[in-house]
Amino acid sequence: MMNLSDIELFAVAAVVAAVWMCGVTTITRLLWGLAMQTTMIAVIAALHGIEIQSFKYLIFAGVLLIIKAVATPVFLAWIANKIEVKRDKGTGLNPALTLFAGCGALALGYFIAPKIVQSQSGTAGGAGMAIALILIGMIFMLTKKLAISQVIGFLVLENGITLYALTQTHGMPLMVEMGIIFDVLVGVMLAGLVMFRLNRSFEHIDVTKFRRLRY
Amino acid sequence: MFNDIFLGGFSIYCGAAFLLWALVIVFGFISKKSQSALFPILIGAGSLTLAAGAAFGGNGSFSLPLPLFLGGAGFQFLVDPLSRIFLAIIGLVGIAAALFSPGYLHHLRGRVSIGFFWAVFSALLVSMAAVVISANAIVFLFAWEIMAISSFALVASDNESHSVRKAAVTYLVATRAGTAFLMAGFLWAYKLTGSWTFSDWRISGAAAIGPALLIFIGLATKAGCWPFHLWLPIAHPAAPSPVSAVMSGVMLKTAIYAMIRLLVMNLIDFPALGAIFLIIGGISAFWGVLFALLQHDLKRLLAYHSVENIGIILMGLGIAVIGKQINNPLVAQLGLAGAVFHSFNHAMFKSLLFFGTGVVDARTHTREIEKLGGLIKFMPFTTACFIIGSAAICALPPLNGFASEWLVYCGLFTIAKSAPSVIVRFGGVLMMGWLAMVGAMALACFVKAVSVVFLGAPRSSEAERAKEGTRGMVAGQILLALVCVSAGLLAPQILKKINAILAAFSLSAASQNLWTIPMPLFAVIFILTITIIYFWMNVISRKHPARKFITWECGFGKTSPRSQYTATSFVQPIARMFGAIYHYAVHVELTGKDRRHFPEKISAESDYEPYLQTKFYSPLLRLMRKISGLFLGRLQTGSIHQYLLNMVLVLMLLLWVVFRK
Amino acid sequence: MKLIILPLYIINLMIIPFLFMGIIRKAKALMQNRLGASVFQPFYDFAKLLKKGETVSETASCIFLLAPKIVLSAALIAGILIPWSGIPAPQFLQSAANFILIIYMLGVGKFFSMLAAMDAGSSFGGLGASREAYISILIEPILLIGISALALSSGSMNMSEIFAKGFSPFVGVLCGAAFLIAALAELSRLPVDDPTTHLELTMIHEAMILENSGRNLALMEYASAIRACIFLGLSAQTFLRVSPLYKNLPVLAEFIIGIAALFIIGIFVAVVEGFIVRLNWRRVPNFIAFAAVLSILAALVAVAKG
Repeated sequence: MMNLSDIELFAVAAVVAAVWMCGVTTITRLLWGLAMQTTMIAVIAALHGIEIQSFKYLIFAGVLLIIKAVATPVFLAWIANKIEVKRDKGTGLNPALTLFAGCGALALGYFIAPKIVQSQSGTAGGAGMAIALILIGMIFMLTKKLAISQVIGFLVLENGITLYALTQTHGMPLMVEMGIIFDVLVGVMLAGLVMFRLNRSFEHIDVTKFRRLRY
Repeated sequence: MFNDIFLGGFSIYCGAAFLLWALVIVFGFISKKSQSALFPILIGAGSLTLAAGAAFGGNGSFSLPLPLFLGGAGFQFLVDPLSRIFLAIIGLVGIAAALFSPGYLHHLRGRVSIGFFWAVFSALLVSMAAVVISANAIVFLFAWEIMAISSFALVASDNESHSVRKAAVTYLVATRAGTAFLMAGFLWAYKLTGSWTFSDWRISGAAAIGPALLIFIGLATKAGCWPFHLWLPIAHPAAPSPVSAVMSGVMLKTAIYAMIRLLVMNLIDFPALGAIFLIIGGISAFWGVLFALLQHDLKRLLAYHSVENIGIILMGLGIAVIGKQINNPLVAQLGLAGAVFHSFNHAMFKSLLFFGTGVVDARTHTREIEKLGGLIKFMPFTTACFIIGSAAICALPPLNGFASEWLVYCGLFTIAKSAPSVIVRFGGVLMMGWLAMVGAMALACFVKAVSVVFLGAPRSSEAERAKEGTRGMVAGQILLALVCVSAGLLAPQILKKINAILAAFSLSAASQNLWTIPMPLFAVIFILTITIIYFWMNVISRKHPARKFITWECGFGKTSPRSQYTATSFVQPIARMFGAIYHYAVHVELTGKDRRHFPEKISAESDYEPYLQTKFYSPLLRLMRKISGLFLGRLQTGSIHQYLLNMVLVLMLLLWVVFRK
Repeated sequence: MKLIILPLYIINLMIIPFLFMGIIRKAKALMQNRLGASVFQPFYDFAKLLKKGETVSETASCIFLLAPKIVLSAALIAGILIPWSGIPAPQFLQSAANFILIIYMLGVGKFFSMLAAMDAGSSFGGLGASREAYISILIEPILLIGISALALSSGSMNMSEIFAKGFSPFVGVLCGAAFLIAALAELSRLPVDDPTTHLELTMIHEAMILENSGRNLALMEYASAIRACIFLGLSAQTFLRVSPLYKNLPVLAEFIIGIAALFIIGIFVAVVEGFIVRLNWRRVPNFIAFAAVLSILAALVAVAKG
């Protein structure tokens, strides 16, 4: 095999899910992809916890799974249903080109990783995949036009940062991690409510059209 | 003195060829209007001698004695295996052109002075041969300039029409700009090494970047690779067809020859050269075939395909240089063999395609695809040869285009297998996919060209009145088609000849057997299967012979040829897919009382904007014109006293500079 | 060894293609709650078409009559050279099984079938040829990069050797999925094109052969059946050979398991066709981009291993 450890395998699977999300335009499918990705990262946290026999990682994995992999996508799906948005076609790039960009981000993360981290194996302990996830999150936020996709892109970015912290620094203290997760949860809920109000005022949540608010 | 001049068997062949061609030059200039049959015979004989010399003569060098001196160095010539292959190209295409041209010139007889044409044509052949065997930079530049001027004169042959004149001037400006870069590069190399002879130029490392880039830009302009290719689709359609064939087939290859000799054969060498070749070659291939898809003038289409194939040749050269850099002799051999073999093959099938276009042009007086159609019924031999040429250029086995592209693929695969850095390996695999996409686009483009021009029903009255070309025109095409087929089948034998060059590529390992496909066996099985099925069908069909009826048109009855697919419609999905690159747009206009439901007239027009031309070159040219307007306008005051004053001032400045010390 | 293989070749090329098309059609019919034709119906169709006379258009030329023979020969030779059912190419043709030669030989078939489609001078032919050219621009790089990934992972350019030596499981899975999606596009099946309808909106392959009738139609249908076996069989074999158990079986067992896997993939394709609809024509590149990303990832994995 490509001499990847289990953790790196799941990291690659998370990035592959993110790349798949790049090519998909239906909102519910995007949320499924987000859920899959976050589940992979929770599994990585759990595996790491089992490996170093520390309880706090298992707690962290559980909280991640429940809040970020289940509750957040469900909430966003409820919001999407209320606003009645189904597809997000993106602005500059069509889905095929976004897919290639995501693949390029994966390749870039793979090639850059050994330069940043001195590690034996190819993906440098998952750091490369974390960089790829951050890049894909940014690609999302740059190329999608609905506000809900911007939130999803932000969540992918957040996943990337969590993965990097998990694999490189062996995680931050448990309180910090919990704080971040709840922060994100509250942020997503606020974003959902704001999107709801936006839709009620303007009949759409298309961020490219919000430029008109300037005049 | 006799011995000094005629060293080596090759010089006899070469001298004989030059002599025969010189006779044509002299007679052509003396009697410009004559249409004697002596000219093609002499040119054909000269080309035959050259080709025979390339095949059978030995290597050697000779130089003309001292009274004939060219400034920095004497007339030195050198013939080695690399030059012999390019001389073979010149010879073979020359023979075919000599067979083809009389019939074509008959079509041009009012507009072109035929003796002058043959004279300049022969000068072009002489200068191309001289470029390929020159041993030092001064002879090279001398022959290069003669080549440029004679090809300019040939492009401008039919100079009654305004577009031809404009195209000829554009070509002249482009080639002069390229030669300027080339001269600058040569001068820099002379300063670094102190000699004009090519074999003394061994520069490597950081010092080589300057001359290498300048020489590359100069040669790339002549070879027609992106981004210096803009003159190609303007100049080649304006020239008469035999001239386009020779220019596209042979003249571009002389630039490739110079690239191989100077930049690849270990003479001038710096680290990023391989990557530059590969990337520019890849972009060139894609750009050429993309724009070829959009053309509806048959010759412009073929000109853009020349850009594509030069891109593929550059990719082969890039593979060779990278192979040398990663110290893998197999990669270097595959790359160089692929590039040289593809040069030979491209010369053969591109000339064949241009000759076919010449027959179409001569018989139907139009090159516009949308007005042609159904020509297979009137010119069957030309169509058969054109289909063989198209199959060769699309790299279909068992023809020669496949053989050389296979070598390039193998080179990329070997890079992907054995380069030391992961990025280079990944790049190798991605380039293989890129080349496959370029090949599929070329296939689409030639299906369009062949089917819209030759198949289907005639779309205009000119196409309906077409006839087959003269026997000479058909003979020239059949010769090239036979060369294409045999070069594909006999690829291993040709590779053995190319191996002699590889041996000189200063590589340690002996050149092993590069060719692993049993091509003759494959071709035999393919043809055998087709024949067996054909005869089986014939046997079955005795009981129920085929009946002829009109094409199925949903029961509406016989429809006009206008309802066939046009070339524009054929490429519309592909053009739209890449539309962002050149701003593709289709404008549809409906007129009539109830436009939406019952239109009376529909017109559809597609257009594209070539960004390289409109956003880069045109503003650059405008800027240059503005600047020169500013300065020249001030200098050319019209006053004689001012001019005399200028001359005195410059003279005093020069005296001060020279005698300062 | 040779005595067993020879009848297997004959079964491979003459029986399995028709049977495979019959099974796909039967599975699709069952999905649509119909009984459908028998699985042997393609045999009867072939025999019937061979017995009928054909109608040739006046506008068509000899290219139109020559093309079906060339297409069928290319498909037959590819069917022998590619080990799509587990059997390697015959000994004397082994060295001809270079994957670039095979892809370009299928390109010869495509070239002549597109020329024949445009030859009749009808707009259906032009439609089919134009779309076929468009799809092949998207598919050829995917096939080439995918097979190159397999070749790099196994170390050889020869198709029989690639499948004999084996390749890394990750490359195999990614390539198998890429080949499956590419096969759907190449064979003009849903969601790229609907092979059962004859409307302008949903025709690629059917539009190209619309003008053919009688014997030539029999040859073209046979060729497309063989191509279906080749492409879906390639995907099946790539998936099968991920497990090292498969390689060490005797030839007959490899053949039977290979054919079984092929039929399972065929039924899977038919089941999927029951659920999805044909994509909007402008969205087809977005769908094919998934296959492209899979094959590029497979190439990355194959290259990173060394």
